Amino acid sequence: MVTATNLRKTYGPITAVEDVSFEIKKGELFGLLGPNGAGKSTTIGMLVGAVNPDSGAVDLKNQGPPTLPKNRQLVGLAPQSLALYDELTAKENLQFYGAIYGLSAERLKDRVEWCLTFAGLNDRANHLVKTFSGGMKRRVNMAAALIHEPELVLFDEPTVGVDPQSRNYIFDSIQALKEGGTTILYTTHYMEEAQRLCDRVAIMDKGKILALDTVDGLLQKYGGTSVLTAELMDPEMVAPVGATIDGSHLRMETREPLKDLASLSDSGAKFKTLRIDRPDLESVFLSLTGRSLRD
Amino acid sequence: MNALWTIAGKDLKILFRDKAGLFWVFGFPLMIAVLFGTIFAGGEDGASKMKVSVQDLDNTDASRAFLKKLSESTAVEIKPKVVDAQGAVRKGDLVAAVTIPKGFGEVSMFSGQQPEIEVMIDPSRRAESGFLKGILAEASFAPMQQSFSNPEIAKVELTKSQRQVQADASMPEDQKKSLLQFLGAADEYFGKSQPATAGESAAFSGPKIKEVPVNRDQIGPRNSYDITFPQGIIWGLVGVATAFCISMVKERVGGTYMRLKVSPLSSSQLLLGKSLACFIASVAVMVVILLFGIAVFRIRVDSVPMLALSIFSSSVGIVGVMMLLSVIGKTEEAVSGAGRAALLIMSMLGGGMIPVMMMPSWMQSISNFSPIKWVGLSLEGAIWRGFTFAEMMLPCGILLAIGVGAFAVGSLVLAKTKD
Repeated sequence: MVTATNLRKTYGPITAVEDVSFEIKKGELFGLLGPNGAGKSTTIGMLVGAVNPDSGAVDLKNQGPPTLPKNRQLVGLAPQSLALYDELTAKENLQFYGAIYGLSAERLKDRVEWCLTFAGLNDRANHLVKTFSGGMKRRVNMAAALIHEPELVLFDEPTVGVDPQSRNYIFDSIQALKEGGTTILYTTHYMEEAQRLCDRVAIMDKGKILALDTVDGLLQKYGGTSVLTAELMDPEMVAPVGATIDGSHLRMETREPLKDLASLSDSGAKFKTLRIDRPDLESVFLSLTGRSLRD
Repeated sequence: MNALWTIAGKDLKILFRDKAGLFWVFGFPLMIAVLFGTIFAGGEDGASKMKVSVQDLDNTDASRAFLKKLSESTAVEIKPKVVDAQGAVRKGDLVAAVTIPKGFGEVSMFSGQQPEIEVMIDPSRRAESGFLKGILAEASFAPMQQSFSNPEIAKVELTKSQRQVQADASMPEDQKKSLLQFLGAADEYFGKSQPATAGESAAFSGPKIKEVPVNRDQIGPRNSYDITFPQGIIWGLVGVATAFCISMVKERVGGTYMRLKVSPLSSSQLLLGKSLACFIASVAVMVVILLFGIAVFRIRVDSVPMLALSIFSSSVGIVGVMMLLSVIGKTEEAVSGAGRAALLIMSMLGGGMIPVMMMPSWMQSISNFSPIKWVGLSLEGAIWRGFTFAEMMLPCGILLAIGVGAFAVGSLVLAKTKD
């Protein structure tokens, strides 16, 4: 669906994006995970043709760059900043963007209804956007990217400043969109979101892609071991290979925690409490950069 | 083209929903125009009155009654002792010069010889002319009314009329006979009647009014509002330019511009759509403020085609200024602050506060660099300076050049900063 090849963009002395290449398959939910300033938004800008790369190329559906008029209709963008008009209602915003994409009156009416339902704002359709909460604005911002039924949607940090309830609503909506066959690029600096939603994730830092794989693949390669900790019923138990016992507390680092847990159980271990800490994308980022994603 | 109207429609909707913005676009300019117009008018009510001189060649009770009635009109201000009334009309100092002919009080209303009042007026003042004729006709009733409300005066009038009818050789005998019978009966009636109350007067034919065309050759404002309404318009246009400057930078900073850039619209369509909205808003401001001035303060436009030219070129100029100022900063605060400051200076230099004609000569020279000065001059040219098309080409040409040039520079800067 999208092929980015050796993208590079500099702003004066600052290199925002350096040699970024990836491919997004049709129907895939592709994540760009990285801290603020990693180059995610610049990459998105180049993917949609709003930012001209210094070098490299973007190809949509083997039809050429996104700036071609025929390719414009393929892409929907929900920018990180709320790209809405506060003095217009939710419905008027959607109608405006639909009209810009040349939707006929009848189709526009249907699409506006669909988008309002997608955003869960049918009952607030005629309210000015400036009266909305941050979460509601985010949902309209996302819906506006879908007004013309694009094949590829780019959501740039769609959950920034959103309350937990709206965040869950957004996750469910994106999931539903993916199940409907839409190809999605999702950028975030929240590793839980990437882990929860994305089929594949590219980890970005300082303008470069450090790693790109499925979540499990990244965890396997860079996540390190899981940590199994337990409080034993029998403190006299002999520690198995790879584990340490301090009093009644057992600690074991393992790549296969469930298999090792089964072995412990088979050897007669009984647990008062049990906990498995699996590696996550945070630990992947830590492993790749030497610092936390939240730093 | 639909896309341009869609963008323009959206921007105009946003502008008209912003009540604070609307105040600066319409409310404040009207306040300026009315307030300064009233101050410069010296607090008199003269702006709404027609200045008229009256020469009474008759100097009878009837002519004095006519004059008294005329002076009671709230629509007319009688200027006493005008030496060169015709010259004053020509210069525009007076709307009209009225002459009450000798014999005005002597001519009977029944004799068929109606008093002929002479009115010197500029033929282009059609509205005033019609209005004044109505007032003169009304005032002419005064001496007649006075006659018929007093039987003694009426009897004198009837006797005079009987004599004039008998002496009229041109009147057919049967008509003469009938009229004398009627006048005799009336004479007998008034001999028996008491003085009537006001308003109970007999029917008669009104005065003849002879219009003498006097073409004005004086160029100058007819009243203070001729100056202050163009000033008000200047502030309205400043409001429009400011509103659209801020709207442009809001789009850039807020992300809507990026969303529009990735839509099927071209960059030029986006900018033209925005400019169309600014152009329409500018035209609307000028038309609304002028219509208000025409309706309420009787501003009179010398030339509608020249005014249309002024409105068009001023709006094009404002679009260019807006586009240029919208790229002078990267944030809403920067553009808002710098844009307002620049427009304020342009406006002050261009006559928004003190009319350019009242500035010292060195300041008038500096004002040439302000686009606002040319807006004011083109408006004045169309409203009261009596500019010809050739004369209008200077301010309008400059405004069009500023509009196109500033738009091009602004667009180029915007294109360079788009990433």
